[in-house]
Amino acid sequence: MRQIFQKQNRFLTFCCLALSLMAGMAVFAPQVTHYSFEEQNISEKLEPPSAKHWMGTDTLGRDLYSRVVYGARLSLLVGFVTAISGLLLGVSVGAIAGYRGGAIDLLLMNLVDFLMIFPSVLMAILLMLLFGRGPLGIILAISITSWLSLARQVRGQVMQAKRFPYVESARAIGASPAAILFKHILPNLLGPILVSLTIQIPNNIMAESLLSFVGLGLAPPYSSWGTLANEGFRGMQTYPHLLIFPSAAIFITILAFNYLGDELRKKSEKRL
Amino acid sequence: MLRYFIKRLLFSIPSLLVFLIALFFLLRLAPGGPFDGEQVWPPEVQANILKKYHLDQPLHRQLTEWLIQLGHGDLNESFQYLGKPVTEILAETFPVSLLLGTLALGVCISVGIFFGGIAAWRQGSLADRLLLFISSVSISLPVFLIASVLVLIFSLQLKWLPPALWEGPSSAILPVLALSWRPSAIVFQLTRSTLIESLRSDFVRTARGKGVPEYGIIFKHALKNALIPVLGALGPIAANLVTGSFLVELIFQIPGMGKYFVHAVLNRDYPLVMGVTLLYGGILILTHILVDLAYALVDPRIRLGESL
Repeated sequence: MRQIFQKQNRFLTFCCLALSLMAGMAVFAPQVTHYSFEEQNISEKLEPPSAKHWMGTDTLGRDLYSRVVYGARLSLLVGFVTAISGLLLGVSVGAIAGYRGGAIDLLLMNLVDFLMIFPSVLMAILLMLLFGRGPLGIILAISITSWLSLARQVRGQVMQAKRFPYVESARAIGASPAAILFKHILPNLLGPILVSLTIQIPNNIMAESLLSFVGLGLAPPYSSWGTLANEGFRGMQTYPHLLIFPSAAIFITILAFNYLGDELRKKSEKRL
Repeated sequence: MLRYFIKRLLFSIPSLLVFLIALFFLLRLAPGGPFDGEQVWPPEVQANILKKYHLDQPLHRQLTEWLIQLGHGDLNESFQYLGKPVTEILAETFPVSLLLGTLALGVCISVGIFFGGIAAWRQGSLADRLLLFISSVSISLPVFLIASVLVLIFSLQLKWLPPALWEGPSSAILPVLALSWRPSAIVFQLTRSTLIESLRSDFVRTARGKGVPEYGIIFKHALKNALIPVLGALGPIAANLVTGSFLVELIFQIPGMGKYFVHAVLNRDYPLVMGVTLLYGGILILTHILVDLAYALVDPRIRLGESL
């Protein structure tokens, strides 16, 4: 870790700072805002950014800065939770298919291959129908659509690891398949799995914002960066601040995650 | 080749059918129905409407009916656009989405490969670093931000291009740009990195030794090999361009299939959702098979039919 920071540019430090800032904003939202995110003040509606309202106000006179900060809570939460649950699902399916082999492997991998044909946003839209447009619904829909490529990757690596001597010796001393998988094989694959997590988080944040932007994601009273951008889009010519600030929040977060993920991937590939 | 193609196509039909049947139940299980809008109808009227669309029948009966009609090439009438068959809506909207997607794919292939070639040729130069920076910024931009910035600059400020609607070639420019922006950056990065790798290989050294000029090495010798991984990525990109155009279609008010799909989902228009998904599924499966075929054409080491 330290080596990356020494050799690599200041941009990586900037990315980490930006991400910590976003996460801090989300966690300490009540402490870093002066206004409520839902309190309406019609006499101060659609104001441009000022010292009083850092990012201006929206059509109902709500403070946009507070709304962006509280939006960070949902956007980041959805990104993290979906990436982690997608990871759990992908790793389990991949590990089972790779370790068991045979008919189970054939069935699971055919399913994965078939579902992979469909772009995940399309699948998420269809699943949102079933789960509804609340935070739980969107988390379920995006989780279910973000495990396929990881399952493929883990399956391949587990199949490879099965032939290594350490697995054979574990089997020789009588370890159960579950123990071999969870105690011996998976800890060895932790690196690449974590790298895929840093790639999945920004993808899922993006997916959430796209869904919410078209009105298929979170519905009021919940608001994420995507729903804020949607509100801002309608009046973007006259009030560009309504679109720019939420979009900038999405952009900076995704850029930082992507860069971090790239650096981690390069690092782990070099070590192999 | 043709036999392989037909075999793959036939094999994918059962999976698509299972997928559609699952979607059928998902739609009916989902909360909210197509006819519970804001106005409250008397129960008799509600019952009559449900009866007209056979929504009062048990699910398995509805499903068999849908399947039988599918066999006759009929996808029912839309709930939302009364009296309009789904096949007619698809016939009107699909060409628009297809044109949009194909144009965007063309832009992203040419832009991505051209600039990828330049960046690899002048690796480490200012141009290379600038292109890399632009591409990593582009990958992190949400489509709606790209679209809005393009509209703000080119139609609202400069007034060069129409801000929305689908009338004539000039109205296609901004949507195609917005749609191809991110994928272009992805193709660029992939081309650049695989090209740099293949520039280090032996056959490039041989070509250099023969005295082939540097641009000839890049665009004639190295690029051919570098394109194989790019081709693999183009399948998902093409799929995303055709199905993912719904955002661009909504933003620019283009009467394409994606826009209708989103409205159909929002309004629980079951027949239209099923119809669009069927068509999407068909296109996606077809793209997938075509990419595999193209793979085998470009790289003779790959043999078809082994993984089937």
